[in-house]
Amino acid sequence: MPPGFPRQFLDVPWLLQASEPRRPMSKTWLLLLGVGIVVMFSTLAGGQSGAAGAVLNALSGLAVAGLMGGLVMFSVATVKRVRAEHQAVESIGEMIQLRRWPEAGAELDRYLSSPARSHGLRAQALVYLGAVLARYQRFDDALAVYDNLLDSDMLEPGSAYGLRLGRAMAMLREDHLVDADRALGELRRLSPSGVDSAGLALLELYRDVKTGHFVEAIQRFERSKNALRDQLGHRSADAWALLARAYDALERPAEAQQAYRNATLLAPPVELTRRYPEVAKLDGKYEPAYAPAEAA
Amino acid sequence: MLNTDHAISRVRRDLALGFALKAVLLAAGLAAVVVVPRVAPHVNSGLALFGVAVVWLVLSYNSAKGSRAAADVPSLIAAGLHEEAEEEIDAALRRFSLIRVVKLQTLYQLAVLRHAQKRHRESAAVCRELLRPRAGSAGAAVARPVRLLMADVSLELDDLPAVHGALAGLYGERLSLNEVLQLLAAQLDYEARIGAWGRMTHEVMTKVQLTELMPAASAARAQALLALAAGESGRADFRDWLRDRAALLATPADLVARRPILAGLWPGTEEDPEHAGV
Repeated sequence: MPPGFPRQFLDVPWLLQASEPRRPMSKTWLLLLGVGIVVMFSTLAGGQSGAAGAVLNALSGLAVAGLMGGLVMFSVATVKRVRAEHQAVESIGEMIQLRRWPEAGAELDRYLSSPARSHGLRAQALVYLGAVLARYQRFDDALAVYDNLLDSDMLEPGSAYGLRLGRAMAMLREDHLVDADRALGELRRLSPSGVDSAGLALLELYRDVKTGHFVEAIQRFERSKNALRDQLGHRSADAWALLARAYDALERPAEAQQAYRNATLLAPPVELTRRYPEVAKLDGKYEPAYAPAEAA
Repeated sequence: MLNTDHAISRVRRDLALGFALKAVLLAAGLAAVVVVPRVAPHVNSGLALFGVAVVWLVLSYNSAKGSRAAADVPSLIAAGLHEEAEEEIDAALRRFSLIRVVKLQTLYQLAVLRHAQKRHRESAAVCRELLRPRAGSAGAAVARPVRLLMADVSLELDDLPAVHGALAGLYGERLSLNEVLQLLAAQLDYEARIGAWGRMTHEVMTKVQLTELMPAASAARAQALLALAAGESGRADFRDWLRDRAALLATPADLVARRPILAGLWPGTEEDPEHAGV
């Protein structure tokens, strides 16, 4: 893209390209040059005697001191830059946790517009970019980021598993049901045996609700109820909301009401509808649990 | 098995040794520039200084490499693999390191492990050692997480003056979001024990929003404590709302077992451990 050309906010292909770390200029040559100077002075000093030898000896001492000083200053500057970049990425993570999406998006746009210092920090920033894009319902862009990250093999297995969950959710939201089904199969294979993954359970629950398999959705919820609660915390509101939708579709209003109340105890209805458009049908049909007003 | 007192004395000894070695290398560097040209003019001072620099660099490189030795410990502790974590900590403590903060961070991991193993007295002893005043910035680098851990451990030991001391040291600090969440959890626990109900319900919705970012068990406990405070402050609506939320995030019987002060929120919990308020 030519410089100065206006680009879209969070332009994914551009950010993926621009954030690619540059091969750092090798400082080894500088160090070798410094060593060469020292050796040259030392050789000359060894061949001289008297005042000239003393001067050369002092100069070689100064050269080494300069080399060491330069090395220390260079290391300090590098550590400072890496620390600043690390803090920038960390603060983006905090903005996402605090749901400050526009600020997180703006920071990501700024950070990923120039080459990252390390592959690890770039990968972390791209994970955050995927989350922000999903929040803005730009699921195709989020999928492009997730695929790029998974293809690059930059993430350790735990993070890659989490990313695959986000990718499958984006597929479901975009109605790529065949791809989503394949992604779910892959996740099932990757899940550690004997561990009930709440993320996977939530995805399967959503898939069942989306495809009209309401009885299976209820059974899935009951099987993974404790894992959903323990692993997702407040995000278990999503599972309760989908359960309410399943009960509603099966015309079991009492159970739908109870599940909807539980969902809205943990998250406001507007947030649930934003995450799962299918839940919008429950709005107005069932009584949510409102938070009390702060002032009595 | 790693003995905690042994680990503390080993770290003390290694820190002293590292300090002495740095002093020796610094003195050798100065001697190469100042003393050698006068005492032994035939010895090249540049090469002598270069030799000292190489030794320093090699030791620093090895120390930096050693800092990765205990990198897996947090995930091992989180996965409940305490024995494996203990072995990694033991191996990391046995390695010599010129970088003080590496040793202190490994000792901090030991405190976290002891806390996870419910050996709270040993964890507190390690925290006290880490909070001992030290020269340089190494101690300050680990002070915040250590104070948070100390507050948590002291709550388990019901040592309220120690909790207060640990929390007081954090108020002027710039904390990360995760540290803010840990501080809030410890603070609510402490305030509930001293009956500071008014302080707990001050700006309650901000606190509730923060608890939503905590892991399920911590979020449940914090909201249950806020429910208790709301009840004590005459806000029955808040009490019921927060209590029902807490019951969706953890089993009330578990909450009451860990914090008996919460029993009033779920009367008869002991008789009906499956009661979930749902």
